[in-house]
Amino acid sequence: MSASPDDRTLHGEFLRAAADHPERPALVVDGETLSYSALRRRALAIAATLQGRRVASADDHPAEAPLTCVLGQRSAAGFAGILGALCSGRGYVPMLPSYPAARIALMIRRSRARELVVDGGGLRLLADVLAAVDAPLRVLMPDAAVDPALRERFADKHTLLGADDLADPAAWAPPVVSRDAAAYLLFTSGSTGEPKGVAVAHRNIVRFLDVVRERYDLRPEDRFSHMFEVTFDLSLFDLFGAWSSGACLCCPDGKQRLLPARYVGDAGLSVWFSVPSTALLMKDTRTLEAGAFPGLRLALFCGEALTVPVAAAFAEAAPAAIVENLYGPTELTLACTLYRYEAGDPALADADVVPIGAPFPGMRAKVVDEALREVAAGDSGELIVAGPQVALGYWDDPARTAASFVRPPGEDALFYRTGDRVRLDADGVLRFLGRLDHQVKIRGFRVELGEVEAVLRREAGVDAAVAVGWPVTSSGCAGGIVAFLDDAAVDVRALRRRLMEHLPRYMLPTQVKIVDAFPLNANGKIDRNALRATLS
Amino acid sequence: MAVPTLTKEHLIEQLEVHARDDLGDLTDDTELFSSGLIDSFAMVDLLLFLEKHTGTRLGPEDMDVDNLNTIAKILAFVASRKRR
Repeated sequence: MSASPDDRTLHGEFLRAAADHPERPALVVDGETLSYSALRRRALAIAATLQGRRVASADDHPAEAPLTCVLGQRSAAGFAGILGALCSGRGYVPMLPSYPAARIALMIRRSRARELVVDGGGLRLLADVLAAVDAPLRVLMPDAAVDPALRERFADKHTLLGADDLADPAAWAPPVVSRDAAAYLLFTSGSTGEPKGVAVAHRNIVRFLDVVRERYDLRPEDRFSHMFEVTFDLSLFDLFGAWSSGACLCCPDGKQRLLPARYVGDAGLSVWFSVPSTALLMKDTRTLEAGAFPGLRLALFCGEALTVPVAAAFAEAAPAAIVENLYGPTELTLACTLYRYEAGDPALADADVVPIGAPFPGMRAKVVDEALREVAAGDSGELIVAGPQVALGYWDDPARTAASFVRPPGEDALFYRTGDRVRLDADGVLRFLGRLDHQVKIRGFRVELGEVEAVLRREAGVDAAVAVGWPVTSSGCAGGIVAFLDDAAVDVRALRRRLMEHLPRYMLPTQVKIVDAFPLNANGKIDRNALRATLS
Repeated sequence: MAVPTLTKEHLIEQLEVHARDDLGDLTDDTELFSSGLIDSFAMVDLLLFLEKHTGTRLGPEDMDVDNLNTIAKILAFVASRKRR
C-alpha cells in the first residue's frame, strides 16, 4: 500500500510501521507485550467488524466522516479499539470508564456516533450508558462475551457484539479516507455548561507527527511513557509518536502510576512526556534524584506552566536528556510552540516559568489586541496561531467555530484564538502570562469554570454559583476547584454526590462553601477575587 | 517533642479532601490509590501529613504503594515509624 505524502492518514502511519517492524514490541500493558503484528491483527479484527455494516467512502463529506466511540482505559482492547476505529475509516472518540455514565451518553449523542467499542473496564457502566442513548448503537466488546441479560434488555434498540462475533482480520478492506476527515474528536470543557468537541483532521495530526519525528529523531528502539489518559490530546504523542516510529508504548499500571520515578527505570523508558505536575509530584515525594534517569534521551512537558525549578530538577535527574517545554491547545493539535530548557540559560535568570518559546516549523504565531491587530513588540496580548495544525473546529458548532477560528485584518490564513495572554520578547521568545477568560488548568486538564458553575446551578437549584481555581500556584496553575453558593439550604453532601454523576473527577469541586451573600465589585458583578481572598 | 496520635477518623478526613468518589463506604482495606479512588497527586499532601504524625522525615524508599494503599496499611505504617 503506497500513499503519496498528501493522502497519509493516522492509521496509515501505524500500518506502515507495523509492516516495517512486525516483530518489534508495540505495546506493553497489563503485564502483556504485544508485537506490531499482534496489535495490527487485533485492530484489524475490530476494523473488519465495524466495516461489516458500512465502509467510509470518498463520497462522505470530509467533516462528516463517521465516528466510533471507544470506552476504555489503558488496555489492549482499548488501544486496539482506537486503531480499529481508525483502520475502519472512522475517527475515534475516546471516553473513560471513570466518567459518569450520563456524561458518556451525552458525548455519544453529541458525536452522533452509531458505534461503541468497550474494553473490560467499561463493561460495568454499559447498561447505564445504553439506557441513556436513544439512537441505535452497535456495541463491540472485543475481549468479553456478551451478557445474555444485557442483550435481551436492549434487543429492540442496540446490537451487542462480543469477542465471538469479531470478524476475521483478513476481511478488512483498506478504507478511502480523506485527509480532511476527523481522525479524532476530543471533548474539552465548555463554558456554557456542556463539553465541546474538538475535531482534528488526519492532515493535522500527521503533520504534528512529522514534525516531532524529525525533531526528536524518534526510532524503533525508543520506549515511550504513557502517563496521559486517552481523552487528553497529548496522549496522541505517546501512542502515535511510538506507533509511527516502530517504537514501544509502555503503560504503567495503577500502582506504577503512583511512583512514576521508579517506573522510568523499571520500564527502561527512553522518551518521557507528561504534564509538569507529574514531575513536581516526583520532586515533592523526593523521588526525583540527580542521575536517577540515565536512560532517558527525551524529557518533554506540556499542558501547563513548567516552572524553572522543576525543569532544572528533571534535567539533573536525566543528564542525557533533551528537556523541552511544549505549548498548545487541542485546537492546534497537541503542541505548536516549544522552548528547550538549558541550565544557565540567561533568558531564565529572572524567570519563574520556562517560556513557551517559538512556533513549530510551518506554524505562525501573532500577539494581537481585541480587534485582532498585532500589538507592539514586547506588549502583551492574545496569542493567535495559524498553520497546518489548525484543527477542523468544534463538532456541530459552527457559531463557536467561527468565533474562535478567525481571519485577522489583512490575513488570508485561518488563525485559532487561544485565549491565552502572552508576550513576544525581543529575543523572539513567547512567554505565557495567563488566561483572558475563566479557564483554569488543573494538572493540564482544561476546565472552564463556567461549565462547573452551570452544573452547580442546575444541581443545587440555585440562581448563582461561583467556581474558582484553588489553590493557585505562582505559575498560574490550579490545584483544584472551590465552589461558592449563597444558599444555606443546600445539602452540600447530597450536592457533591449529584455533581459526581455529571462531572469528570478532575472537575469536581474539592470544597463547597456557603456564603451569606456574594460580594460585588464596582460593576455590580460577583467579585471573584474577594471570594478567592476568603480562602487564604 | 510529642507527636499527635493519628486516628482513623482524622486520616479519613485528610483523604476525603482528595477523594474522587464518596468515601462513605470506605473500609480499612479499600484500595485507595491503585483503584483511582484517590488521585496520585494527593500523595504529596499525604506524605507531609504522615511526616507530621510520625515526627520523621520520609524518603523515596517510603514512597511505596504497598505502605499507603489502604487505611489499615497507612495506620500500620505510621505505627511502625513511630516506634523507631
